[in-house]
Amino acid sequence: MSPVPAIELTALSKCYGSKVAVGDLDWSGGQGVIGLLGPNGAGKSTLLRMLATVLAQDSGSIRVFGLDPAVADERLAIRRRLGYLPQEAGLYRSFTAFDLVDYVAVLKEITDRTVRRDEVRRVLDDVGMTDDMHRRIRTLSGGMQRRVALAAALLGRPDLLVLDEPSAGLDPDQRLRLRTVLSDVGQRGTVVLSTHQTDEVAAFCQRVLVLDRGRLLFDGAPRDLATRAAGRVWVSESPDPGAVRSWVTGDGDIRNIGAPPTGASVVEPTLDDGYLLVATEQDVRA
Amino acid sequence: MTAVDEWHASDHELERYAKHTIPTFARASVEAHLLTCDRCRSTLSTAVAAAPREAQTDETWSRIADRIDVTGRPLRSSTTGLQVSTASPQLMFATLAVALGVIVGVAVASATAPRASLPLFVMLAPLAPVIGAVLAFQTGIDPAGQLSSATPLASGRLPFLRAAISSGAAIFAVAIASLFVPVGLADVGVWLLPGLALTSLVVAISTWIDPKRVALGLAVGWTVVVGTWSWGRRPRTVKLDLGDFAAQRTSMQLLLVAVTLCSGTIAFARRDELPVWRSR
Repeated sequence: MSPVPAIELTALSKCYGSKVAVGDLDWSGGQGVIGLLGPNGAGKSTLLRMLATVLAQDSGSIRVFGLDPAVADERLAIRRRLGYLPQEAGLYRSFTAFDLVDYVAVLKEITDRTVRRDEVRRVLDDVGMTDDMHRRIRTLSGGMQRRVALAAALLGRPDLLVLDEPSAGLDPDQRLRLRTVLSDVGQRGTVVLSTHQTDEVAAFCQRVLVLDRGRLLFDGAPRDLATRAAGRVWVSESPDPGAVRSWVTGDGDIRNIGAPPTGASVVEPTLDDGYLLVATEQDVRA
Repeated sequence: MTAVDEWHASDHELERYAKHTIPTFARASVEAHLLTCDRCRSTLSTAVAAAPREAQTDETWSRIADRIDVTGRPLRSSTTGLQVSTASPQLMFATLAVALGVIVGVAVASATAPRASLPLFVMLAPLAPVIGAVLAFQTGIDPAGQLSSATPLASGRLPFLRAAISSGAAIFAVAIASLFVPVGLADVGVWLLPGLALTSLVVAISTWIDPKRVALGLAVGWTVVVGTWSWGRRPRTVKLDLGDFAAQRTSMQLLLVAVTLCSGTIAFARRDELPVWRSR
């Protein structure tokens, strides 16, 4: 018998009025770190909220660990194995970081006081907040508040972590720490995160999904996304009118993606190139 | 030498003494014995020396950290649903504002416009617990904001407990406000039963749609009922004549009790379906 995938989506759809946020999505995924890439409004947050059991779909089905979030008992069972970091946490500003994470630990049913406090210290240490854990939320920077929220999501070593832009507001050092923590979780469970950073996806995601306007444009390994653009990226001294997308690089060259003209100086594609190509092709088709 | 003199603490007791896990009474006994017994002191020091130093340090640090981390808020000791429910400063402030609003509003009306105070009281009293319940069902009142929405306790028991606490506080405030108007204990059915019925109705319907909308609809309806009753009456008639107010009639009171019980049952059965905690 094959193991139940951590996440299984079948013809999943969600609309806000006439706007399709997620459209007819079929997908399944298991262990590892999975990155969601896509422009603003692509449906990433909507999908993550549905995975986190806080938003109901309009049609189709979601199964998390084989359980249906629409059924109360099964939703509870999912939530016991879930950690969720929303895009905007909205933390109460007069609590200290420790008190806030401690409070969330209670909501996560970690009722033994000693166990709970040890767990709170562990997650705050994981996100590098040990020295600031007794500061009030209102005195913390945006990045620190983000790390407090992330610590709360990590409570109880969840089997599934759903993170909406976890690296937003973090400095490079903290991002590095985040990668280490999430890679560790990905070794034994599933991490689904949304991001705008392709370097982040390249660094520690085993799988990447590209979404645009609620549609799944790509599903595969990050290197496969980069490979999509193989032979379709070239540099020139001026923008190439035949390119589907051109931009100036840091060293002053023009980087183009599309069908290269004869004699073009084709270069090795990056994940950025692959992502832009996939997204641009969708734009052209639309 | 007596039998008492030959008594020695067992290895197990000494081990628990060293780990601070021995009960207080036994601890005092072992401690008193250690003062006079070289043999047990020697056994104890051997046991302590044999214990991994790192484990001892961890344990000591854990104890120190546990003391330091007691900040008194929001969860001081062992947790219960009640403690979690009352851990929301936002809800506590909002409930307090509603409670004070009712008391001060009725008191001021009673002092400045005595004839209007009774209709105002009859109108406000059942709505106060409704507002309390609506506040409790808002995700925004949770100290952890959206972070709490996907936790096991987020739906079901927690918002219902919060609603009970908030509505209960509002009802208590209304009871205090009733001292400012000519409503006797026998007239409690005028406001308490409608309050309970409207609140439980809001909670029950809230398992399908947003409680704010439900509360708004019921508030308008209740205001119309009270307005119709008091409108056009001569002020002195309104002042004390609660007898012909529908909520005073036995049949109406039975109906309100039935509504309260039915709505409460529905709300309990559907406690995991609050749409504000799992939006559509």
